[in-house]
Amino acid sequence: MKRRLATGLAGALLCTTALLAAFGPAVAQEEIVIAQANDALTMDPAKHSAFPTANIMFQLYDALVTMDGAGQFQPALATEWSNPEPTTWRFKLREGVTFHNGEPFNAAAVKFSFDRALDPAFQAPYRSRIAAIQSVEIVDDMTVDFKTAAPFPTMLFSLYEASFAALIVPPGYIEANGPEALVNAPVGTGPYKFVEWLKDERVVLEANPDYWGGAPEIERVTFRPIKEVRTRIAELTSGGVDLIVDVPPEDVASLDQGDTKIVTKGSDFIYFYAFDTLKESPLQNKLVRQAINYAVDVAAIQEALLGGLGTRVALTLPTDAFAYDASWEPYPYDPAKAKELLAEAGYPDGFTIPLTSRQGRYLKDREIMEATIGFLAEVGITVEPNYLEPGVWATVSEAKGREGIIFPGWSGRDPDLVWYPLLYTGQYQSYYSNPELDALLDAGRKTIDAEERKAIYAQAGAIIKEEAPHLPMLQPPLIYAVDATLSWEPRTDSIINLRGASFE
Amino acid sequence: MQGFLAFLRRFARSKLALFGLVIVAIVVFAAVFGRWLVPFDPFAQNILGRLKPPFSEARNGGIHLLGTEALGRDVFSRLVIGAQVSLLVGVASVALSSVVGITMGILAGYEDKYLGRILMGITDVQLAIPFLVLALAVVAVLGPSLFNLIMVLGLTNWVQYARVVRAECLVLREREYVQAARALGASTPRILFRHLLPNVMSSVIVISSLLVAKMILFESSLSFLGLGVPPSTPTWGAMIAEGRNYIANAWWVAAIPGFAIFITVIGINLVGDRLRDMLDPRLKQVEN
Amino acid sequence: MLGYVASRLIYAILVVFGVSVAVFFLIRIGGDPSALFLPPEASLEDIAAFRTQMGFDRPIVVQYLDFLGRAVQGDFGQSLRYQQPAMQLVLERVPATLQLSAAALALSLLISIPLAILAATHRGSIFDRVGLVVSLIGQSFPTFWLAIMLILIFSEHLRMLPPSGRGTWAHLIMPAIALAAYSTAIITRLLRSSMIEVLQSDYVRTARGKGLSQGRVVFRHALRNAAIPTLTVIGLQVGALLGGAVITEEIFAYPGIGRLAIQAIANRDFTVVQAFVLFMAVLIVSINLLVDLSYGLLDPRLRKG
Repeated sequence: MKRRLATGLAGALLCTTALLAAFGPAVAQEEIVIAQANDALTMDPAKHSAFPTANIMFQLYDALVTMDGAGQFQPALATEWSNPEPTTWRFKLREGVTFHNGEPFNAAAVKFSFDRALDPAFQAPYRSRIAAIQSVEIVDDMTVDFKTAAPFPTMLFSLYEASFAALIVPPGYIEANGPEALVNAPVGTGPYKFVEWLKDERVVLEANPDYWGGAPEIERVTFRPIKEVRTRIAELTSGGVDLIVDVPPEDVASLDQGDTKIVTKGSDFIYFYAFDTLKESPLQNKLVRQAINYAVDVAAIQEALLGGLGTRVALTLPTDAFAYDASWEPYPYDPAKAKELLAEAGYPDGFTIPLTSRQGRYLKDREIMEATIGFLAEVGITVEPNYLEPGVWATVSEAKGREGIIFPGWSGRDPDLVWYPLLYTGQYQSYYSNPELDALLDAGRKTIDAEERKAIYAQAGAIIKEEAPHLPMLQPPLIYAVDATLSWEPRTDSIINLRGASFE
Repeated sequence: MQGFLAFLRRFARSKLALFGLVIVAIVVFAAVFGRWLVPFDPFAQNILGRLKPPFSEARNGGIHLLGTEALGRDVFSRLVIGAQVSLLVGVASVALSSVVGITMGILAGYEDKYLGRILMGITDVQLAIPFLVLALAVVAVLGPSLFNLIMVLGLTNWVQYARVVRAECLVLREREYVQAARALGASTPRILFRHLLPNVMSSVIVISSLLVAKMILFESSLSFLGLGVPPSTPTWGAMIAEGRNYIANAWWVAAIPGFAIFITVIGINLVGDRLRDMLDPRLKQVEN
Repeated sequence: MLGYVASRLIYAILVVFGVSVAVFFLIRIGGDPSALFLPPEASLEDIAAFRTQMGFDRPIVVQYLDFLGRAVQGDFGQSLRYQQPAMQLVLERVPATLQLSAAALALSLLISIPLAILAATHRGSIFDRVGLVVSLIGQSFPTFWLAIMLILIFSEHLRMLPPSGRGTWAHLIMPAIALAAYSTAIITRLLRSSMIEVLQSDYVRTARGKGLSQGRVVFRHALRNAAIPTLTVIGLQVGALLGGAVITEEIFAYPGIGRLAIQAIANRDFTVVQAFVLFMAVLIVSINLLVDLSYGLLDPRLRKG
C-alpha cells in the first residue's frame, strides 16, 4: 500500500525527478519485498551451501567477477584479468572501493577472503568450488595472482558469486570482531547494507549510496521466507510482496496480467536421465539407451508440464554453456524406431528396470518422471520408480546405490563442470565408463586455450550423442512473478541480482 | 446373528450414526470392488489431455466424470482406487498399533512391578517425541512406500491403546474370576489372552474406529510434507497434496479428494461415536 | 509429599533421557548430512574429510556419550546449517510458537466452552446440533487443506487478511483458526459429555434439590468437575497439538519452532533436531508432571504410587 502511494507521488513529481536526475546522481527510492522458499542460514557468505542465502549475500557482497544477464563474465571487484602463465590468473582490482564500514578494498582483502575460506579448519561448505586455488599472492596493493597446480580453465566459475565462498569479506572488521563477526552483522562492498535479520521472518537491507557501481534505485530490500507456493502467490496478488520465485507454470497466465507480471529465464540447470551402465542390466546395451532416447516425447512433456517454457537440450549441457554447439540435435521422438532398436538389442517384449529419483526437489520433477514412465510403458519398458527422500538420496548416491535409470539434476556452464563429474570413469556421480571419452575430458581440462577446448568438446559431444549414456531433456525455466511496475532482469544461475532493478 | 441384528437395530436408533454407516459402507464398497467398477485405468496417462474439467470427453470416448489431473489421469478412477489405498492405510496401521498397544497395555497391566513400569516409561517417551520426527526417521530409513507408511503410522500411535488397556487390566486382574483362574494354576499367557483380552475388546473397538479416521488424516498430512506414499500411488492425501498446486485453475484435482476425506472421516467418526455410546459409556476420555 | 515429588521428578528425567537416546539414534539411521551439505560435485574424499571433521565417522555410541556429556553442561552443539548454537536457534523461535498456540487455544476455548455448556444444558436443541457439527467438521478437515482454503478465500479473493508472516494481530487470525479447528472439536465434545455426566450425578442433583440456581449449578459445580478430564486429555495431547503447529507454521510462513524443525529434519541438521526434540520433551513431560502432581494433591492415595 505504502509503495503504491509512493508510486503515485513519484508519478506526480515525475518532471522534477527527471530534472534532478539529469543533473545529480539517481535518486534512490522505494522498497522491494522478495519472497523465496527459505530463510538465510547465515550472513557469512562462505559459511553456507544454499541458494536462498546466496540471493541475499549477493546484495551485500561482491565477487571479483560477475555474470551478466546473457551469462557472460564481467568485471566486478576486479577490472581486468590475464594469464601470465597457464597456472596463474592475474587480476587487477578496482580502485576506490570501500566496505560498508569504511575499510578499503585491496589485494590484502582478496587474499584474506580466500585464505579464510580455503583453510580446512574453517569448514566452508563450498570449499570444493575454490579448492583448485593453491595460493593467492599479492603482487601489489591492487593486483593479485591466483596460483593453481595445473591449468584451470574454469577459474572464473570459481570466482564469481555462484561460487559462494568467492565473495570478498573485510579483513580488518573480522580481525577486530572475531571470526564469527559476519554471521549476524555482515559487512561487504555490495549495493546494499545490512539492517536487520529476524530469523525465519525477514532480512532487511538498505541502499548503499556509495556503491562503486552506482547507488541502487530501490531504497530498501526485504527478503521473506515463504515455503508454500500458494502462500507466496497470495502474498504477491494481495500486494504484500513484489517478487516471488518458483511460480508453477500453471499460474503463469493468471499472474501475467493486472498488477503483476511474469518474468522467466531458462536456467543453466539441466534435467536428464542417467543410465547406470556399470551394473548388469539392459542399459549396458547402447541400442537400449538409444531406444529410450527415441521413446520419450520430451517436447510434449515440455509443452504440457512446463507450459512450453524452458529450453530443450541436445546433450547433457546447458545451451548457454561453453562449447555448446547449436547444431547439435537431440534424438527425435519416434516410438516405432525405439521398438525396432529394442528388438534388435534382444528385447522385443521390453524389460523391467528401476528408476531412482528424488521428488519435490525441482520444478515439476515428479510429474516429469511420471510422464516419462508413461512413455516408456508404451514401448514395453516397465519402470519401477523408487523415490527417495533427499537426505536418503544423498547417502544412496554416495554409496553408488542408485540403480537403473536415475534422475539427478545438474548444473554447470562448462563441459568440464558437467561431463567430467557425470561421465568420467570412476567419478562417483558417473555411471559410465569409456576410455576414449575419458581421454578427451582429460585433455579439455588441461588447457586454457578456448579454441582448442571447443574442438576437444566437439569430439566428446559426438561420442556422447552416439553412446547415449544419458537421456538429455531440458533446461527448466526459472519463473518469477513480480509487481507489474518492477523492472528487473533474472539470471540463468537463479541468483537474484538487484543491481539495476527499479520500479517504473 | 440374532445378536448382531439386534445390535444393528440399536445402532440405527441414531439417524446420524446410520448416515455415518452408509458413508462408511459406500467407501468400503468402493475400496473392495472399485477396481472392477472404474471407467478408466487410473494409471493411464495422457499428458496432452491434462487438467480437463469434470464431464469432459476422453480421447477414446467415455466421459471423465470428475475431470483429469496433472498427467491426464481420470480423477474419478483414481478417487475410487484411492479409497482402497487410503482405507488400507487406515485399517492396517490401526491394526498394527492396536496389536502393539494392547500387548504393551496387557503386559503392563498384569505385571506392574518392573516390566510394567518400563513399558509405561516407553509410552511416556513415545508421547514426548513429536510424531513427525519419528515419522521422518522411519521414512528416511526405509524409503517411502505403502508398507513403510503403515509401519510409521502404526508404530507411532499405539500409546492410547496401551494406556487404556493397562488401566482396564489393573482393575480386571483384581476381579474374582481372574484371581480364581490364577489360584487354579492357569499360566500367565492363558490369563492374559483368555481372561483379560476379551474384556478390553470393547474399548479397543471404540479406540480403533476413531483412530482409523485419524490415520487417514495423518496420511494426508505426511503426503503433504512429501513423506507419504510414492507419487504414482493414488491416496486421497497424496491427491490433495499434488492437486493444491493447480487449485487456481483446476479446483477439482484437489477439492474432490479433499471432500472425499472430509466426508469419510465424518462417517467414521459418527460410527465411532455411536459405538462408544453403546459399548462403553465410561470411555469418554478415549480421544484421538 | 516431598518423596512423591522427588520420585515423579526422577521419572521425568528418565523419560527425557529416554527421548534423547531414541532421537539420537533414530535420526542417525537415515544417513548423515555430509552429502546434503556439500555441493553436488564434492568428491568422495571431500565427503570423507568432512565426515571426519564432524566426528560422524566415530562409533555411534561414542558420539552419543559425547553429546550427552556436553548436553548436561548445556551445550547442545552447533547447527550444521546455521553454524550457530542449536538450542539458541530453538529458543529464539519459542515466543512466536507460544504466541500462536496461545491464540489458537484462546480461540478454541472461546468457542468450545460456551458451546459445550449450551449443548450439555440444552440437549437436543439447536445448540447441541451446532456443537455436534463443529466438533465433526473440526476433526475431519486435514489441517493443511483448511489452511490453504483460508488463504485462498481471505487473502487472494477477499484481500482481508495477510496470508503469511508475523507482526500484527491480523497475521495471527488465519494460522490460529487453522490450528484451533482440531482442538476446538475435541474440547467441545469432551466437555459436553463430561458436563452431561456431571449434571446427572448425585451431588448435582442434591445441589439442585437445595434450591441452587441453574447458573450456579452449571458454573460452580458442573463445569469445574467436567474440566478435569478435559484438561488431562489436553495435557496428553500437547505433542500432537504442536504437530499441527508444524504444518500451520509451514503454510503461513510463521517463524516458529515447527518450521525450524521441519527444515532441520529435511537437512539432517542433527543438533537442531536433537535440541528441538529435547525442548519439546521437557515441555511435554513438565506439563504431564504438573498434571500428575496436581492429582497427587487432589488425591492423597496416589502419593505412594
